[in-house]
Amino acid sequence: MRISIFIIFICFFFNLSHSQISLRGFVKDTSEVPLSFATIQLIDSVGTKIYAFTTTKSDGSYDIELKTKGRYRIKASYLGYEAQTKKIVVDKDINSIDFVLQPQADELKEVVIKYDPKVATVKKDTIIYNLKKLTNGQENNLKEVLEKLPGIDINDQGKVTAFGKKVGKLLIDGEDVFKEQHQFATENITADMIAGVTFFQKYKGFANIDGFDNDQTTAVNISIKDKFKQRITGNIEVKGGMLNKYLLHTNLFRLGKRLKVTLLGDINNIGKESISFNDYINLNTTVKSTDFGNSTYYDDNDIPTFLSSTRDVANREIGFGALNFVYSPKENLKISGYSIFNTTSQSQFFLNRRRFFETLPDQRESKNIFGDFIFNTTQIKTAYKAGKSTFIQYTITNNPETDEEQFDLANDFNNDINIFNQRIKNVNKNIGQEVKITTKISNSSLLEFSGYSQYKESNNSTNIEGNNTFLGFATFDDLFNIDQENSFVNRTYGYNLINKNKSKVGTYNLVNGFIHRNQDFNSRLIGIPEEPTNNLSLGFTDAYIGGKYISKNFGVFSYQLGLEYHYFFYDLNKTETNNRFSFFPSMGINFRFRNNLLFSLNYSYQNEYPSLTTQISNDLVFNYLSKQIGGLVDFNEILPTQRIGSTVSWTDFKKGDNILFTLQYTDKSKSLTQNVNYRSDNFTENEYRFTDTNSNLFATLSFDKNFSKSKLKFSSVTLSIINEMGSFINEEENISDSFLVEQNFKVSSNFKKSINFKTGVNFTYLKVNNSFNDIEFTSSSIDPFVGIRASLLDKKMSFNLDFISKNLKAGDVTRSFFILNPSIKYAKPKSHWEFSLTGNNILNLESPEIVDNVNNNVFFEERISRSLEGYLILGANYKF
Amino acid sequence: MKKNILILFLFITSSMISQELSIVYEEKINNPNQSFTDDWYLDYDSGKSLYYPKDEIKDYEEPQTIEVEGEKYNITAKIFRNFDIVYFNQIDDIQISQLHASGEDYVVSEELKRYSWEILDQAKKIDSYNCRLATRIDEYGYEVKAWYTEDIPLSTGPAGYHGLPGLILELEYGFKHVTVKTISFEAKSKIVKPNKGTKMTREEYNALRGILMPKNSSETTVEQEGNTTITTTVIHEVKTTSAPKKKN
Repeated sequence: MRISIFIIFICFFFNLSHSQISLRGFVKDTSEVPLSFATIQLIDSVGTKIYAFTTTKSDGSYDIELKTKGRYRIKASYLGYEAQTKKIVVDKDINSIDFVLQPQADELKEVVIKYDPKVATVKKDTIIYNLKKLTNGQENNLKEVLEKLPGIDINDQGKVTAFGKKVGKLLIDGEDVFKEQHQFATENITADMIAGVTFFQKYKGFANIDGFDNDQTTAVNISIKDKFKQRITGNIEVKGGMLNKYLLHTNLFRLGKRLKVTLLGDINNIGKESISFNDYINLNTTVKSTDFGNSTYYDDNDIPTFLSSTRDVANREIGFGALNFVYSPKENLKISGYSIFNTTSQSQFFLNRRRFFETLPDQRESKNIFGDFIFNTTQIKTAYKAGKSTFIQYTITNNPETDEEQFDLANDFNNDINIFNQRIKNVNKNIGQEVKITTKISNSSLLEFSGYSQYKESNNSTNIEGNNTFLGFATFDDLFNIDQENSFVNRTYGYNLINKNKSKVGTYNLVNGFIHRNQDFNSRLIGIPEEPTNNLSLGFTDAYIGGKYISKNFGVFSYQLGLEYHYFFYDLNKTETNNRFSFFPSMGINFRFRNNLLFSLNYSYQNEYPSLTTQISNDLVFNYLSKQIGGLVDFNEILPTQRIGSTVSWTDFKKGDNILFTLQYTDKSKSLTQNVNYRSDNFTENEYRFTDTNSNLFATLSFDKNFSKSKLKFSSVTLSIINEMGSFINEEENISDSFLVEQNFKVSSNFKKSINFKTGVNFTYLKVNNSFNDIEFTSSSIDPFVGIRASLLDKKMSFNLDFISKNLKAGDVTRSFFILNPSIKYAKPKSHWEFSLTGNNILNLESPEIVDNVNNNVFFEERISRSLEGYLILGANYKF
Repeated sequence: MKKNILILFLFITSSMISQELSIVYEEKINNPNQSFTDDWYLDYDSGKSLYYPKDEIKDYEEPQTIEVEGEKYNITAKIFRNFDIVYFNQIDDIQISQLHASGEDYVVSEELKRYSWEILDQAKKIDSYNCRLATRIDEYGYEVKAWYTEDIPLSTGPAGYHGLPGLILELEYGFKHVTVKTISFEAKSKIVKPNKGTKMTREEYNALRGILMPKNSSETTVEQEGNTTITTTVIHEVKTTSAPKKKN
């Protein structure tokens, strides 16, 4: 809606004698001096409509022609004088109004115009961030830049998110160089390399076929400044300091037009990790790039301890190298890949107090663990576009891995002290390949074929030595020594075919495919009479057909509906064959208001089957305290999962304010659990069972509020998890309820100059209750923090100080300590050198102790462990 | 101080009160191929104004590679910076434009152009000035967007645009985006008529330059003369090339 009026520039030279109604007069100042080129406007009573306007002649006279008589306002203005508005009634053909204007008291001076631009420009499905407005020049790397952009964030796993969801692609100058390893980019691309950041709601990738959105996803593109392109650029950093701490880090980038290569290398003993738990899972699970139906299958994946242990590591040495590349020799050919190599050596120390039952005395344990892990993952992907309608891609992956852990253990139960030595070694192989072909059948129909095969092999050996019997084993000749050898081989192959069809009412996808798995599990326990073995095999096929409908947008609303029919058949140990079928429905609705308010709701249902190892008939040793025994679990049992999730997000692109709410509820009406039998000679025997209690509610609420005048930002993140899980203890059902709340408040400043600060508090509260023994445990932590960041000497020198007060409480045990992280960095002017002094947790150069509460459904464990020791290191960084 | 008062007294007694202004604008031109940023002055004094570049704008040469039907050519493109220096005189109803086009200067003297504007209800603040949006469609079919402020009640503006009940602070026109940088309420220099170049009428100039411009402002024509390809791109800035060499 717009009030629009045509106004004509009526010049005073016009002869207006033909006009019927005219308005005339003079504009003079208080000294009777005529004011020439004064502006005269005829406006409506509110002042929004302009009917006519003119300027006065040299003698200060004006003449305005009017079409209709009536009530108006007439305004005269002149630079340096107070404007004057008069209410008039035009009732004659010739009307006379004169003005006498008062000079303004203030003298007019020169004005430098300051613009207050938006923090981001929204164009259709693209948001272009205004980095000048959003950053202050004190940012070190891409991560610190992205965290200042409204709607964009880095999640706990180091992935870049936009409006609460992980972005589909993180692009460097339009290329997906780092694939899923966002943190390689966010940690290592320096802030001064960044020319701009753009978010695409609908980014069309290389595999996209015109007219179809088959490779359409969300993306964040980082454009690199020209001076960092077409040549090798990067840095080499050497740091060393007290207590023999060192760090050697290098980033090398060559971001050309056709070839983009990055090489990251890191050797340190300060515990700085380059790969996260989730990266490992993503890199090591499967080669297949599309979801094959909705079915998921229980895979026994052992996660190396170095990834699952984060804060309870006393010290850690890391060697890391990553090569990422994208090469586009032709417009229709793209070869990309990565190879990541990681070695970790670490030691851990624990003092545990375990409580099984109120009636039993506590078990005390001291545990020293020394671990060595070697992990490599390599992927090469070749993508080719044959004409405009066909896309072909071949991917091959190889992930070898070895991890070895040595445990020194002492166990005190009822003043009976025993000593154990435990060694566990895993050697894993994982090789996969995938072919993907996408072809356009017609202007409204697209066919996507994907075929893959994967070979996984895992060999595990466990050796336990003690000074007494353990796990109830009668060992040969009282040597108290056992060896266990396990091997698990998993061969998988399958195909998936999707036919995407566009119509006026939306898109409907037809899908069919199958996955076949061949698994062999063998175990042998040496050192005890009869040497119990397990020899299991499984052939499992899931064949499916289904469809999904994605509606067009009805104004702000769209929805999708899906249904898949799955037919399963399997052959267990070549003796037991069976088949059955299931329907997997899914649905979702989306609302999108004015680009900045989004609401979505999703529901899905799917099945899992028990894993092969549930079918063991003989003992399988976990550790010196527990073993798995043959269970009562029927393989033919379907384990259903229902998920419902919702997201609401709102962003104000002008101010940068943002609210995000997510809710995810998962319910498993039947799922795998354990029955734990506590044996009187101080060990547990686990048996697989089913439980009908397994639900999880996960909610997050975060918001950012910017006070643009004071350049302050307030942010709050609330996370809450409510979990209910059933298990059995000595055949009796136990329901374990847990409730976790995490709350972070932060106020931070974003001044362009001088000093910036952040302050806030992180709060965690965990409450666990077991129905079996009615024990309730709580643990909490309150960690207030203050951080100061300053830049001096024209940003040549920067100073950083973080102070955190850690206050941990688990049951009755409390630990409090302070963390002080000071750092100072100096960039030598007109040189490539940067020097730094970095301190991390300098008040605790010896490993500080932390406390945790662990509930494993059967016992509570109060755990005191050592966390990484602090360091103070001096460094030199050469940038080129 | 006494001197100032005396001068002020002299002004009043000679019954001359003037409105003076000197403004610095930034002109950004973002062609698909090139972009330029220049500072321009707008000097205004009692009905007369002159819009001219702060620093001399020069034509220049640039090596380029162009692709025509799959074949690549190395050429030296002569980049002609086309611009207009505009003088308004509201007293004598005269507009004098010194037009720089394809390396030549022309002077066109004509009656003050009378623009009809559509004033919309969109408003924004530029610094502390309340601005309103006015638009018009020019004779070539382009939309001109002007943000003007009544807080400075002078009917003038940059890039040859005027005719609103206030000073134009921001202007968007084709690939051109003009924004105000500083406003100073006193004349910086005397306003003189531009006079460099061949004098002609607007009609003669249009005929010479082959205007009217096409509505789609960027057009590339490729002519083949023997082994020589002549590529001419007409954008807001005019670029012509001569005798390109074929790339082997």
